[in-house]
Amino acid sequence: MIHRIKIVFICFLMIFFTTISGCISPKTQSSNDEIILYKNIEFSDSDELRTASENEKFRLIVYDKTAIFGLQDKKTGYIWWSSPPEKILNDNNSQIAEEELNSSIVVRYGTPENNSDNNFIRSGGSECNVKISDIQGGIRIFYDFEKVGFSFFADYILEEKYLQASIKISEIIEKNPENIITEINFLENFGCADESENGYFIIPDGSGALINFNNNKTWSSGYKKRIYGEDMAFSDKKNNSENEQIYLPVYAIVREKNALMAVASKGDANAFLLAEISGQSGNYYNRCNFTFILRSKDTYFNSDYSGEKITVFEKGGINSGDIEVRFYPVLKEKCDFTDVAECYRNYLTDECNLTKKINENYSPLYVNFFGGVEKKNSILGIPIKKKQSLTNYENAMKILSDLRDKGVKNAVISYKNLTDNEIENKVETEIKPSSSLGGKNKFENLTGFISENNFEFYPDFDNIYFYSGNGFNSFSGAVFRITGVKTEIYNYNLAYGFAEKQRKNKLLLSPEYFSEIFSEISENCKKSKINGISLGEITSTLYGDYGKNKISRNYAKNIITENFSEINNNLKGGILAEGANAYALPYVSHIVNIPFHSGKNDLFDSEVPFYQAVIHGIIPYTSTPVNSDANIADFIMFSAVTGSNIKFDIIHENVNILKDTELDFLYYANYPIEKISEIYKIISPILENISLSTIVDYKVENSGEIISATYSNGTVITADFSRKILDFNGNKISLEEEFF
Amino acid sequence: MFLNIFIAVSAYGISYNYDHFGEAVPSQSGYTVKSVIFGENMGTDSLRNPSDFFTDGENFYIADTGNNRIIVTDKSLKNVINIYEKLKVPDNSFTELSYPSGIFADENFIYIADTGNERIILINRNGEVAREIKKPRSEIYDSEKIFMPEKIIADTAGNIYSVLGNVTSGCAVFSPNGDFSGFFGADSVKPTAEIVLNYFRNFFMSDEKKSRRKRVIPSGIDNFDISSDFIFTCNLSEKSAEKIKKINSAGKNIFAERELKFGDLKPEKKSSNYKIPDTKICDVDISENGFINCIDSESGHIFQYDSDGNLLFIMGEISEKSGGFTAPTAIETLGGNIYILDSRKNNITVFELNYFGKIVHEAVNMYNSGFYEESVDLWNEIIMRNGNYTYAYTGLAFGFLRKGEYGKAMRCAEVSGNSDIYNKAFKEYRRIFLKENSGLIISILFFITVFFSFLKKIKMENLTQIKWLTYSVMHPSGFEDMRWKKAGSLKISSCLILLFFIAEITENRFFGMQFFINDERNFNIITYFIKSIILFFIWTLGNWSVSIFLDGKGIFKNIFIYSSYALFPYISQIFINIFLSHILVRDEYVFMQIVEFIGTLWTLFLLFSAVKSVHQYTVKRTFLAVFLTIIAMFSIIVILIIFILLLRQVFMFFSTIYMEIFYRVKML
Repeated sequence: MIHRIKIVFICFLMIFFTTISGCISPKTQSSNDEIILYKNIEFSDSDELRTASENEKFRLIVYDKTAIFGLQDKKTGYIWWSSPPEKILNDNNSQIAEEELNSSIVVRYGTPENNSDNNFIRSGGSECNVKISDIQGGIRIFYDFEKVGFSFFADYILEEKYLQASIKISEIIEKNPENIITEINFLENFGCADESENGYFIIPDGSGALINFNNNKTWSSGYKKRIYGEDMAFSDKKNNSENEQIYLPVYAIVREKNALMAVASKGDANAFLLAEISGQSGNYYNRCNFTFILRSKDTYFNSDYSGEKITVFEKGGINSGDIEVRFYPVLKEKCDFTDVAECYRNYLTDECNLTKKINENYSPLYVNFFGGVEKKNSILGIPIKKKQSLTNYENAMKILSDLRDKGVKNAVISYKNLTDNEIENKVETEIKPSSSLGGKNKFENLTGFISENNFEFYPDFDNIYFYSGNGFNSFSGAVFRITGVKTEIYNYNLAYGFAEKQRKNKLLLSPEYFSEIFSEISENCKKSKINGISLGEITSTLYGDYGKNKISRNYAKNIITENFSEINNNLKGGILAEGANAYALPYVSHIVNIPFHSGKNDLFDSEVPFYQAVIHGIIPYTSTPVNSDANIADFIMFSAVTGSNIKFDIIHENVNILKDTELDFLYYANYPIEKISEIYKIISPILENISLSTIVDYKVENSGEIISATYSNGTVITADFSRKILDFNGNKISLEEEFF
Repeated sequence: MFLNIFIAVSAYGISYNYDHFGEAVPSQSGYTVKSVIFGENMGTDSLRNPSDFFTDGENFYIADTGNNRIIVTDKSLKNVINIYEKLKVPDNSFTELSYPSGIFADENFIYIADTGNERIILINRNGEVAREIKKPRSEIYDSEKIFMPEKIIADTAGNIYSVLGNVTSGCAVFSPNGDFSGFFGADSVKPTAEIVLNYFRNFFMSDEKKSRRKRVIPSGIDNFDISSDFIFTCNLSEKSAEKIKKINSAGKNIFAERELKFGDLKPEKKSSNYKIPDTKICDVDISENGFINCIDSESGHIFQYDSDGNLLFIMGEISEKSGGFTAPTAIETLGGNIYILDSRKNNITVFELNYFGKIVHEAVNMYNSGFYEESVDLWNEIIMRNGNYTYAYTGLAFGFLRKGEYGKAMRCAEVSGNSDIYNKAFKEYRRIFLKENSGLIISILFFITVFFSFLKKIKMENLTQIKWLTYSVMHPSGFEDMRWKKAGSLKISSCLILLFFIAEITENRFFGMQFFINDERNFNIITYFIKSIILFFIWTLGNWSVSIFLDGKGIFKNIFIYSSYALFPYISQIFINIFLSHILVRDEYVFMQIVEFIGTLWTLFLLFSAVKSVHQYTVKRTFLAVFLTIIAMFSIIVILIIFILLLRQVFMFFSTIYMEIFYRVKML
């Protein structure tokens, strides 16, 4: 019966749209046409398309029959459709393609009995009943997937600046115990573009990247990446060679005159970002969207020898948080990634309490010391572990006083491995200066020196990866996987990428203990009169604990933000973050190691400093260590353009000593002090000038040989990489490669 | 719009190198991905499964196999100069290409391996066919095989070399006028252990089984490059130790004598269940400065070696990222750049030499042309940027050696694990030391002689247990006397065995670095335990069990004591040699050999006499006993190994059960 209605309906639609198709030629869409398109439909059949909600700027249009809706910008008339409206006309599409295109929701589910995890069902298909009702400010669509036994509703509400789409997890009903819902791909086709359109997607992968529509890279598999990085709880024995992550739960669609930013405002901890271009996997459209994981899954092998792979799902009810995506049309004539960055920055300041953490004329030098390392020595072949000093407190003080004498006014000092437990990679909450680094008195001399010179000090407590000891071990403190085994952090062979036992595997600290540990650390810092702390990678690493504690990534995120907020209130200097995911941004005072590049997925067409554009002028930040780069002169120029302060990793002892230790990647850390101060003298005057400004324009010319950025105070910084000239408001600085 | 702009700073992806011991260590990269170029960037449509390309320094020639065409672009790869699809034949008709998979060019011709048409064709720049080479009619060419030219090069004389897809006897050579003149660069099958073993296995195998076994065939040539008078070849064959060969015009592999290793090195400690993939080098290219560049199609790693085969850089990977490959098929170099052709991504990735790479190249060039002292500053700079760069320490050691700063040279040689240079530096260092401290050394020697001259001869009466040790060692009939006097202490012999164990370890750990430098990481104390203590116990046990059959008078304890006393000269020899290894150089190694020889012989004699006296055997019977003891030792070892294997099986069985139960319980 339903089928027959559908067929009649489709026939009707064909006739109906053929009559108006002359006006809806999507290939020549101009803003005028679009108004006509809308009006035409409205006037020809008011029942088909209606305005569900309206405010000063936007209008929410609904097409009740297929539950397609559109967000219209009243000023230009442009409509962002939840699914391509012109698709209804196209009769040469297979039913599946049509289903796919009409679907605003794709549900993935697992059947634990069959050990299968890759089943899906679309809301646009005949297997789903869709009901639309009006609610305050928008519509509610009820999706009933009868066949598999799921039903839930999604609300689409028009707010002043955006359209909010949300699903309440508590309202999801699972009737069939055989099927468990694992993932919801939400508004897959929102704003998708066909093969005739020009434009691009902004993907916040690493620093940021752009994917052009129709870029012909159909041979690559689509882009899919987890927001806030992979869940470390499911560490893999094979290194997946991924080296960048998505820090911000946002993407944008930019067309010639219109741009739309989508933010995952809830459920971001469980979201993936997807993108594909037309022609990929038989798809006609370019699209970009979020998908939300509701239940995590894990795989294991039946035994080490038979090799049968078994998938297990999180037990019990759905543990992840609600889903909410906001669509912000970017109201600007010619929009690029800096405008989207501004829009996102406004979202952060308005909705997420992000406040300015930077002063005028502020551009410090970031110095990162490594205190000690555990080194295996052998006496007559019997291995003995010894704490090897790399930079003791006296060395650090000497280096800092040298830097001060050479003209460094502001410095932010982080200090890793400065207590015995830190050196041994055990969980540490106290500031107990290691005797192998000079002991308590020397340490107090150092902190005294730092505060005398108004430098900022951030001792580092990197606790998330640990070895048993100090009360934390695999029985209490470690994260467990869904399979019931403890998570191990593997060391990978550099050449082959598989897990290697050259060093012991570390454990992962359960988020359950974060509150306890963080508050102890912040107490102890206060006692020792230390103003700020660095918490290692915790600001950019998110994982759940799937053992007894049952902590989802979403819950872990909440624990982290609560504790960060407390530390931020307790300590004057706040937190120094090593990379920062969006949820951490409001609570951090400095961010180091912000990458200059994206994850370089095959689909990407170019890289942009999107992350930098979001936070410049709000939080001071640095790139990865300058001395770790092979092209230091280029690196300095790029730092200037992207407004990144400079950071150096330093150890005092000869790097030879790092052989066979876990710090052997610091092969560059003997960089001379004179060069550091010279680089500081080049960069700091430029960055001081723009410390409160934002990036408003960014241009790449000559296939990347010349890059220039304009800041909101009018400063223009241009880097000419082929001639090695840095132009700052017309002042040309020539950088000699040999010097750096 | 199709331009792929990537930031050339901030290198990413894999960045490692191998240290002297073959261990992968993190390392600064020498190359950075500059751009990724598609057909659209060149100004034509997408490439389709391109399989080869070539540059003559001015242009790039791309065999766009799937599109049946040859593309010529300029140096930048951004502008197409010419596309050859239809070629003009002298009779003014046209011929088309079919799956051209090999390309080469010189100033006269473009050489195309036109695989689909079973021919090689030479065309001039106007697209006119100058020569066509079809299947050779020759006795040495198997006429049943189709002609499958896949890769092609030509030397300066115009001789054409082609890799044939179905021939493993080397590449086919054609004279400039197209006549087949034979095969070149064939690999002979060497009698490796496996082949020898197979030969013996053949006796016991049924014919059916034999036919199922993999045949050992000589590994052919899969790709090559020509540079001055040498042809460099590579092959994908997994077993081949000689992954890259440098073949002179006489067909001899110059790299054969040198133990060069190309590609990734297997880790010493294999730990997980992963099978370590073999390096499959699918193309090699010699850059203008003589460096050897090659690409491993299995891992996507590009390896760059200097002209002597020393590893400089490793870069690239298999990945779905820009700068990564899915099916790398060909490598070319031009200027400071390395170009990789990917036949699945249909693109060319350009790697640009970065500043670190530049200074390394500069230093290596200086070093290889003999400017050792001059290169010291550069090596120092390299180390400042990358303290893990082993090659730099070698360069520095040599530089300091030439400068006459021998102490520094020794330290650098130690870090780089290069005992050759250490030996040279030590020799000079010792010469200077002796010259400066001659007085001191002569006086020390004098005191030692005086000390020894005061030592009294030992007599048999009232010997302490410790003196019995020296007595038994120094006297031919020492053990007989010991037996009569019922001397010999278990404490001392236990100490001796422990000392034996320590000596074995010390020899490995504290030997003079001019002789060899050992990797601490691969040191395993168990090996030395087995080599010394376990072996000694097996000897004692074996001898004891043999003595039961041969009416030996010795009890287990006495065999143990006497045998351990007999080891004394051997143990002393080790310690003496360790001491000598710190004052002698390699040229004087013969002295150490003499010491070792005397010590070993002495111990053997003492062992013999120990067996003889402990069991009260005749000489003849002693020989028999020793011989049988050795056989008994072998049997014990075999039994032990079987036992250990069994134990492992049992352990594995229980661990599987445990895992199974564990998961089942967890899953409930």
